Amino acid sequence: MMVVRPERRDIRIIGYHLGRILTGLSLIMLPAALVGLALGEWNSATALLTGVGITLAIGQLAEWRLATRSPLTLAHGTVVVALAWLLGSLLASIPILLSGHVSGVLDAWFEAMSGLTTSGLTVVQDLDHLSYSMNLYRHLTHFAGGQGIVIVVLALFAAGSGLGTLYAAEGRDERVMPNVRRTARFIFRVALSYLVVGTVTLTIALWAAGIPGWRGLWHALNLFIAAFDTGGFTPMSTSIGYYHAPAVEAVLVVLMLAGTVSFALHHQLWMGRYRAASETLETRTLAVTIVALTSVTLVALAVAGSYLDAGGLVRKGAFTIVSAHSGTGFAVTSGTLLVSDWAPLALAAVVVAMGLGGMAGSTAGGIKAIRVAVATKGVLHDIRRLLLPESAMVVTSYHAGRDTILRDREVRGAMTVLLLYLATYLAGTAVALVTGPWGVTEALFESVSAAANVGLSVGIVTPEMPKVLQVTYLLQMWLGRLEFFAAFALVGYAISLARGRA
Amino acid sequence: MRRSEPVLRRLLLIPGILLVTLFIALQAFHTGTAPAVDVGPSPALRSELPPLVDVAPRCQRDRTGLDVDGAVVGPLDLPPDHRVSSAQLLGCPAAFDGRRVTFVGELIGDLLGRDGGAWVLVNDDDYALEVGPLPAHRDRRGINSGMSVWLPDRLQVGITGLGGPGQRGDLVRIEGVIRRTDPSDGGGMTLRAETLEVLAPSAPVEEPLNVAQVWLAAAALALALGIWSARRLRADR
Repeated sequence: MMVVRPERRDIRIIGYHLGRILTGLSLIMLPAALVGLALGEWNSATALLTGVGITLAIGQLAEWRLATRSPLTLAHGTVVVALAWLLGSLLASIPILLSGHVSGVLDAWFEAMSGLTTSGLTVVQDLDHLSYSMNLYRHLTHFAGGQGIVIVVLALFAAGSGLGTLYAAEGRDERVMPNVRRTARFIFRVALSYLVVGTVTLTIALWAAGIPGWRGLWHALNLFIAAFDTGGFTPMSTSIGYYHAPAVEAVLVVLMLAGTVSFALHHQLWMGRYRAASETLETRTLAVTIVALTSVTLVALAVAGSYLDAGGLVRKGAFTIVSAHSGTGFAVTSGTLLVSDWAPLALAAVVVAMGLGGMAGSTAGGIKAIRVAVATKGVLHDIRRLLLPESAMVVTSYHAGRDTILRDREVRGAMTVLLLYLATYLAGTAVALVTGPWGVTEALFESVSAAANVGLSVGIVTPEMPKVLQVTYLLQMWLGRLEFFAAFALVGYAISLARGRA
Repeated sequence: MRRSEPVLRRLLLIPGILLVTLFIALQAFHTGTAPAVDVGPSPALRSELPPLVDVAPRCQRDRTGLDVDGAVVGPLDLPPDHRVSSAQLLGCPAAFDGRRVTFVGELIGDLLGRDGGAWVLVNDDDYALEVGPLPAHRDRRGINSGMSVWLPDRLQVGITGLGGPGQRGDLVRIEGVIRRTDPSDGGGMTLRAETLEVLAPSAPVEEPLNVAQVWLAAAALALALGIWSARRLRADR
């Protein structure tokens, strides 16, 4: 394969746009710093302000010294996005490192990467005593990453050229509005509407659950961000199990589902086109897999006697599947209990749900419903072609906003990404098996959770896990969020630079 | 092309080296400015805590039932003057189902009031029993662990405070019954308290102001502001 070696001009373009994204990212830390100052959490506030200062300084320096009017190509944009997630998460880790709740740079980077990729796996120590402002900051990383760092920059600070290319390079190929900036603003408007309605509803549910006053609002805001951005961080160490409240769980299920559907579908719903929204292949596929996997889980749990009453069975089983399938990673059952008290088949259903993920163009990770559907239709198409006479013309179509003929190129694309996800899931499993004492089930569970950006854990992800495994999960979260190709482009750039010739 | 080689190398290498240096410096700063405030239970109280029972059952469910270390669940020896830990309970809930146990830990978060009582999280990790809450010190002992406890109204009378940011909660000794799947908690595993004794009252966690970090934040913000201003000035020209 011949790759043209990047030149100085290419590096300038990449560095300049990277600087713009880092400038935007630095401002995400600011609200949490202000909360810290308001509550008198001085050490947290100064940790956050240090993060703001360093990230802003690097961003501004890059924008100043590497300023260029050269156009940003898709190849540049792809490398910028891949680097933005790596470098952005590293710089976003500064406040977490200085908080004193992690052991070192790697733990802080892991936490920030988990937050920005909306994974939700955590290595924060003594979370239950973490300051309000630092805990809010963890959740704001979900917001920045879930809406897409580029989307945040586009919606808030959009100016100049190249942002449309970055938008496409971030893996967001849907344009629900005529241009990319209006699309970004629509996504932001949807998110803000859900923010208001979701936070108010959750606050009421939390007040009723026994968390009064501003603390109810604070919990509600954090939970909303984590649910709608399919993140998975929670303010307390016992996740959603902490609240003991069916009403809170019910609201979160709605928000998780809202987070896992694409913004194109939100647009259809926004415009009142309910029927059109329900007819798309992706909607139907997601509905079928959620119902099927929930059914398998409930039957498996019932047969194995994991729960004694139907209420508990449905509440724990259904919530866990929605949490896994949406890519959120909220837990109502301790990870240890999943291994010690859940039926193996139920655990397998959770792994499959995590691996499949939500809709393309949403905040969810995983393989995505549309790829599963297209790959399945491709297989069925080939079987039909085998069974029919050779002269028969076999045409398969699907509904994705409009009726579309299934082409080999689409099937190949879906299959390629599907296989890459499977390979990543297996690679993480293998590293866990080699480096630790865990069995295949636990190793596979944690690997899929990391690569599909889910965040459910059976207890492997802790501050004490082997460093090699921690780096593996960190890379899996990054690869899963970028859906591989931006990362491959970055590696290709690096190789062609290292080779030293054009 | 050949002439641009050193420039290209500079564009790539210098930021990389600076970034690595920055994080090495931040790690050193983080370690070097660590506070060390004693916020844990007193040594006398620590030595008086009931010892842990000497059992560590692990179980996994097979397709139709439960398998404890490959054997049937037998009666565990739980002496009344010994306590159990959340790790033991979660490792094999079936082995403790319906058993009366002693549990010691820190009340955390909120008393989530319901009819006749409240749910509360009781952590029995090292932050509760040994070293006290972070970030008042740097003796990190991993993630939190604890149990969901149902406290009837009559047991809440002596509670002085719950743990959270800037606050260590009451250290309590609870006796109660374990329920592997509690219908009143939607099937969750709970400890239903029958007695509660406050061993050490709640106390604020005094985290000293990290003056060096104040200066670091001020320097970083000044640097950012300086670069931003210089860039603006250059653009205006």
